[in-house]
Amino acid sequence: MDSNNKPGFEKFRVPGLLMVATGLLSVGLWAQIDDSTKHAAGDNKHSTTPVSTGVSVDAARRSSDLPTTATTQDNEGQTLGGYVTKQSAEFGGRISGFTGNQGTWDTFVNLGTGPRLLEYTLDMHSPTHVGTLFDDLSVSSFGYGGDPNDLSRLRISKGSLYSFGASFRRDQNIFDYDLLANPLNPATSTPAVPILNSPHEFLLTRRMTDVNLELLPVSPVRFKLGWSRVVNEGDTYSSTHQGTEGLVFQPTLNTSDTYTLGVSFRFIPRTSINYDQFYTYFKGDTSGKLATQQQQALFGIPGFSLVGGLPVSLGIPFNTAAGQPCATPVIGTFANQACNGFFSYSRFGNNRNSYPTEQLSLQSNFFKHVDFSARFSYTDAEADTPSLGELFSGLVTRTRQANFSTTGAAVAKRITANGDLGVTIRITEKLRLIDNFRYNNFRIPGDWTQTTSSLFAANLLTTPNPFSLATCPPPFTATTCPQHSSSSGPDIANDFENQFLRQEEKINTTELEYDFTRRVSAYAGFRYERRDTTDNIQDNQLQTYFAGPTLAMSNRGNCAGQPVVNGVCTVFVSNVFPLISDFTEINGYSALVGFSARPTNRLRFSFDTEQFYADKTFTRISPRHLQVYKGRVNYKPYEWMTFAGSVNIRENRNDTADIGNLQHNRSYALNVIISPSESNWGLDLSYDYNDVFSQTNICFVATPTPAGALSCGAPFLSGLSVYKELSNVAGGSLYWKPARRVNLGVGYTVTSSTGSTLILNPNAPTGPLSFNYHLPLASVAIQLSRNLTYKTSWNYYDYNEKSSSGPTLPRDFRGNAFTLSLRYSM
Amino acid sequence: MLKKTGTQLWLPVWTLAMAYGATILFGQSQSGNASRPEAAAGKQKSATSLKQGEPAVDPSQYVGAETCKTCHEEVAASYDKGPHWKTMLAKHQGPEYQGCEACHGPGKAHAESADPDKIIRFQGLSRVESSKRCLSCHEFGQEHANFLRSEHVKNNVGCIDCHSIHAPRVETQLLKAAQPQLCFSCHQETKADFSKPFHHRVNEGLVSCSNCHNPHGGFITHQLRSTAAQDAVCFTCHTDKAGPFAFEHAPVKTEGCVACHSPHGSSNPRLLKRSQVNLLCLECHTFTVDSAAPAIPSFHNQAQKYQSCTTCHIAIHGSNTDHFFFRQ
Repeated sequence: MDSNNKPGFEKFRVPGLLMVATGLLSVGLWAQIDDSTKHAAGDNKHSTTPVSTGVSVDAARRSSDLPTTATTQDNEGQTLGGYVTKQSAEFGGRISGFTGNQGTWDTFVNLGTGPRLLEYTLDMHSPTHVGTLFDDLSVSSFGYGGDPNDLSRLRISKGSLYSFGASFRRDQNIFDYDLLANPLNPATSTPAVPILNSPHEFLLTRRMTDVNLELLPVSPVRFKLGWSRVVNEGDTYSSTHQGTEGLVFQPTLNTSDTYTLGVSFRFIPRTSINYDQFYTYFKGDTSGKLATQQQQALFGIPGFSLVGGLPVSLGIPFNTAAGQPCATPVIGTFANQACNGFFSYSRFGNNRNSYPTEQLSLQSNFFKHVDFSARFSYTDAEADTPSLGELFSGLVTRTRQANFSTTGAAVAKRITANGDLGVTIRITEKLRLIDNFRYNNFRIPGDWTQTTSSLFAANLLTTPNPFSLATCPPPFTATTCPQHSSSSGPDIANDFENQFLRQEEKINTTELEYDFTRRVSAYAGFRYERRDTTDNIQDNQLQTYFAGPTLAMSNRGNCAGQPVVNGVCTVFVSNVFPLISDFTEINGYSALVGFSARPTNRLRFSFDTEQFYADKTFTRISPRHLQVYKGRVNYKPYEWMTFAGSVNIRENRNDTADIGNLQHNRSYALNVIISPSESNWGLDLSYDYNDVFSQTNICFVATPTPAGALSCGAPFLSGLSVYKELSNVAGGSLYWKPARRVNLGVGYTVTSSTGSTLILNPNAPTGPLSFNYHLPLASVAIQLSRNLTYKTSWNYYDYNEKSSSGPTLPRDFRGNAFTLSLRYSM
Repeated sequence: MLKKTGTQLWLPVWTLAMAYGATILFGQSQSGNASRPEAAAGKQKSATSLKQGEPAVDPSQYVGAETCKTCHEEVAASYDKGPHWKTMLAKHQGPEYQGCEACHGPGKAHAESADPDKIIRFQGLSRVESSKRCLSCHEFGQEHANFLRSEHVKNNVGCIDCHSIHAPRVETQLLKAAQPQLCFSCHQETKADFSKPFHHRVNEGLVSCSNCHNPHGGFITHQLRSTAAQDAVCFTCHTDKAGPFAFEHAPVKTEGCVACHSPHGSSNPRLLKRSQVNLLCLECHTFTVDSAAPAIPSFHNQAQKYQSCTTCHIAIHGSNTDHFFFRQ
């Protein structure tokens, strides 16, 4: 702290109030300009690849990206126990607030108020490489205390003995963009029930841990050990389709562990042979149950009860004109007993997946003119769901199903054989032949056996009757008999379903590369790919139909005309759903051409194109014709000024008459960075124009008929699914260092999107296709002493959609996030 | 058909064989590693120079890193701090793989004359040549094995465009700048994608470009990484979507996640390619003769709740319990 007495410091002591006021000024993405220029005299001197100083703005970023007068790496450090030790710690807090839609704010920003450990870093280095346990240690972390993204990294190494790396990442994901999975209930419905949140909203926390240890990293035999874990946990909402769609609450827990063991042999000169084993074990422990009335109320769904007070859920969709959940859901103040509804629903069934993989790889340039790389791997994965259970109680009016339980088990495998080979042959010093060959074959057989037992009732207030000869004797007309209708499904269904999905893919790319000079090169090549895809699905059922309330009911459905014994009919039904048996063979051909040049050390440009044709596609929106054009230029007229531009155009189409798919994605981007090394300011400007377009012929059913729609075979209508989006993304940031101890920054990023699309539901707004998203920011960093820096920043978030909000809450929001911190460095 | 497949498989093999023949015919006078003048200068075969057909290395032309440090003090400090000092520990390799001379070639002539032209300087090399200097050591790990066949090298971007050996901004990987700024300096259009409302958390520092892409090349287009089981790299984090499922939504596995999602960023929720989810579904599941995808049933009135396909078909990435994806 003796630096407090250094000349020049006194005049920058800013009163606290002024400091806070100044703190409302800026954030920075640009503090690094000051630091990076220090390295300009190094080997960056002749680089023609400029480094952008700014990225899109978010306060939830690493604090080291904000203005500071020193990063840990720039610290002088202290020698402790033989190690040069550098350390930085930044404590502070955030103050945030918003107006508007909380769901969208949480989805996009999710920054709360509270104290934070914004960043901590520690570097220890043994300059003579004689550390006892390690020569180098590096720790860094940020975001702890409540930010949505937390990250910690650790790296340790000791000479030729080991290299160890570990990281932990935690991110909180809130999703509630209210239009997604929203049934868009019309205001004309009785009752009118706008769904205020996305029925598929979630609050999940993902924790990712990676640990890697390399033993003997510079020896002829090297070992690798690794473990990584991904845990995704939290609360999600979903829905289930049973007559109406009920809101389902899903406590979610998915855990995946991957273990790695590898050895690398480097006995043959310029050659390595590696053998790796991987084992991944996935545990899916997600269950679901009908959301409670309190939970449904959060979505704007009112609580209903039947005459007598029995609570019932009528689901999410309310469009009474279309009979959803029924024409008259509410009679008086009670739910209609003849309506689709839920009393309860639950689903449980853990699944366990294991993926053992063996991999052999080889890299070599042993031969004079050839270097190559190869990899072969084999995986035999299995997914096991031993005991699914699903229980439903309520009413599906169409079938009178009032109760069912489903139990069953599923097994699926995935067998993958993969081989990759890349070869470069240097025909002459300037001419190279490159070949890449990839073979990938996977097959996924899956089997599912289940038993569904159903009970039937006339309405929600009728107790569903099970079938037995004691309670339902011939002629099966007693009131204690099951109350089937002619549309009722089987009372017991035993399913035997299986799917087989297989794909064999072979891709070969051959290219000739030629260096005209050391600064100019070009290539031309050809890619051939062949895909054979098989997709089979078959579902066979053993169906049992009981009689009631008449004997004839046992001959309903697939039992029509079948023998009935004691009111019971059993029938085996092959392909209860249409059999899918599809084989697709695709041959694709690409011409590849490109060139690049560095006429001077300050200018680089390149151009690539791919012209692709396929004789068939697997999906309608996959391209049969594809053209890709990419151009990039980087120009650095001065060491402190960089211009960069890129053009990226992708045009694809599937011109089969019935499909008429036409798509493009065209992007044009510019970037200018000005950072005079002798000056105290820097500027970063960027702009991107993105034009996305797609159209495809579709057939659909919609009432009323949209304008211009033609018949596609009654009741289907034909139309053109059009999607147009024009996005402008502009950003600018200005960094200014008015005094030796003060860094200021201001910036602004705006994303403005307009577009149009085919809208088949009259209640659907354009939504996310037309919006402005403004992100201004400001920051200040003041070095209080040699070790201590005060930092503050302000981020503003303004999202507004340029269309009507539709039958739900507007998704616009405006919010502020202030970050104040003290950074201590040594 | 099998015969046809066999012919196609032999085609690349035949092409390679022909090319290698041409190499033997035309390439004998060419140095296989033109950027290693130490090889050309060598007269005496070194025990460590076993590359077939390459001239031997003369160990006497190497002076060792300590000699370099006597003049290049500032650079020596960065060398000692960075990872390259460890090359001195690889005693099983020769002097051409150790210390400063591993990159800059034999230093004796330069040390004796102080002539900068008598040492390899990277500024004068093409990007392929300079990258080959680095790859003479780094090519033999799986991470860098395909760099000379990568999109970057094809576009005149070499190792030293992203890495700074003596003045790195990020010391752990010797990078010139931290990700994603480093990548955005060329991929400006991608920078814009991450400014869209829905995006992967790259700007926030949670995910790096190199988590999904291998900037050093690979066998998959867009230099994408994959899971160990050769599945889409997306499943590294989105583990619950990986399956295998008893009922696969086939395009997820055959076309990949990008059939429906824009992975960098999107204006649309869940990074979808369409703002109206039903259009995304209908473009494949339509009443047509040219697609195996089953069409929507006639009661799916798009003007009603059926426009929200995933309200019912919740397990659209695959299901173990329902082939209509009604259950997970």
